[in-house]
Amino acid sequence: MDFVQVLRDEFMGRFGERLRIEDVDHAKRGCHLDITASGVDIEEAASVMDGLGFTLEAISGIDWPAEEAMELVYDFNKMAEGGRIAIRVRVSRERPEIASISKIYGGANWYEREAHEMFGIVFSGHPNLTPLVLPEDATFHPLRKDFSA
Amino acid sequence: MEKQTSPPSALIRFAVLDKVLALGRANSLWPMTFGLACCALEMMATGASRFDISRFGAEVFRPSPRQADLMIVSGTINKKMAPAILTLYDQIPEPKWVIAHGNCAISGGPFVFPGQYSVVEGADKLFPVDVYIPGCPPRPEALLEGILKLEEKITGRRRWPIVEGG
Amino acid sequence: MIPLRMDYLLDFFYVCAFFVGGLALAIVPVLISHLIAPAKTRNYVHKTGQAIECGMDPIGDAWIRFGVVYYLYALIFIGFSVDVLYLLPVATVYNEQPGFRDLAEVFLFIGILSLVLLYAWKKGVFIWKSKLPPHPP
Repeated sequence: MDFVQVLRDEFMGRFGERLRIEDVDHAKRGCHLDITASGVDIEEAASVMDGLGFTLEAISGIDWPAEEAMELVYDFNKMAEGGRIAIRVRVSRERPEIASISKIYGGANWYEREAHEMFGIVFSGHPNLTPLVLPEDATFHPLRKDFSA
Repeated sequence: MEKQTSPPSALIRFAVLDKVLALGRANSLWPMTFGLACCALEMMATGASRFDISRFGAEVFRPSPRQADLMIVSGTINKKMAPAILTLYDQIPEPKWVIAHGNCAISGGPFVFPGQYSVVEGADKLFPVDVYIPGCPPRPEALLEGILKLEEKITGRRRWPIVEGG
Repeated sequence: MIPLRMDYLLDFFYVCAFFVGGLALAIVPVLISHLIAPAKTRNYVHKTGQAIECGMDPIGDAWIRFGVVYYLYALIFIGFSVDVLYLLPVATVYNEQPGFRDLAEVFLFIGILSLVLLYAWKKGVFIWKSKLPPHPP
């Protein structure tokens, strides 16, 4: 897949050692590349993906209490060429904060609201970080591993 | 809060007029579609031609609460939806009746477990319910039986034969 | 000064009776429904009087701008209803005189009023233009 090569070159050129790119088996994992990035780079990475014509599919959150971290997985897809890329970012668990990409991808608005209400991750620069499916006055974060009502 | 389970009474009441009005109201219940989840599909199936709720006068599903007198709560009520459903209940003019259709509307259904944070455990936690139809989801025949039970509740006697199973 | 004759008084009495009957036709059903309707509406969040927005709080005002095409429908309706209004007196005296006078009168009248319809037709009132942009291919 040539776009994989283009993407790999682009990312390595911009971020160099701050990234880790892994080729994965699409039949097993559902994506072609698994990129581990750091939280400060996510806005630039998202604009690179936007420039290359990828669409945002989902933003998912994972809670790793044993490792004192929370992980966010950004799934990107280019339907015309059939390529899926996953970008993983880790944030700390006591103060989970990351930049919002809702100015680059408008669809990220709701995904970030959901990640915020379910995990407590604060997306700085988000225009409206209120709960999406939980009641408006909810103060709990249900998908954390240590949550019990 | 003490919940009043029957519609409040009028200023002037005549016995015969009451009977006539009750007969009219029971046989022309206009439901407000409040399909929230899977039970809504059973409600739609009941409204379609095979199970035909129109035989009992209730086929005119109104989208607006002001034109309806029956609210069929079909499906799970989440805590985020609760203010909306209370507003709609308020906006239905009297006399109004509520049918809790399906297990979720009766008591939260399969979504109740210790530690659940999002489901209101039954429509009767919010407002008085007249008929409960159990099932997950109940068959269209069960919804029709619920409508007949409501007719019996309104008029005082049942006009339709009781179907024997088997 | 109009003299006070019995048949004038009788006519006036008829007009009054119709007026009172019309008022009664409007007011009595409202009164009946006030008397035999349930006394109050059960409500739990006191939103019974709120404008309906499917359970949500209404956004914005109800005094919005409507498309001007509805005004044109109202104009056409006025044209037709004035038509009917003026045909009623013609109907009461129809064929009292022998000959085709009344028929010709009716045709003339309807012919002139149908020019309204023709004008509206030429102006394109009967074509409902969609305001959406064309779907991209």
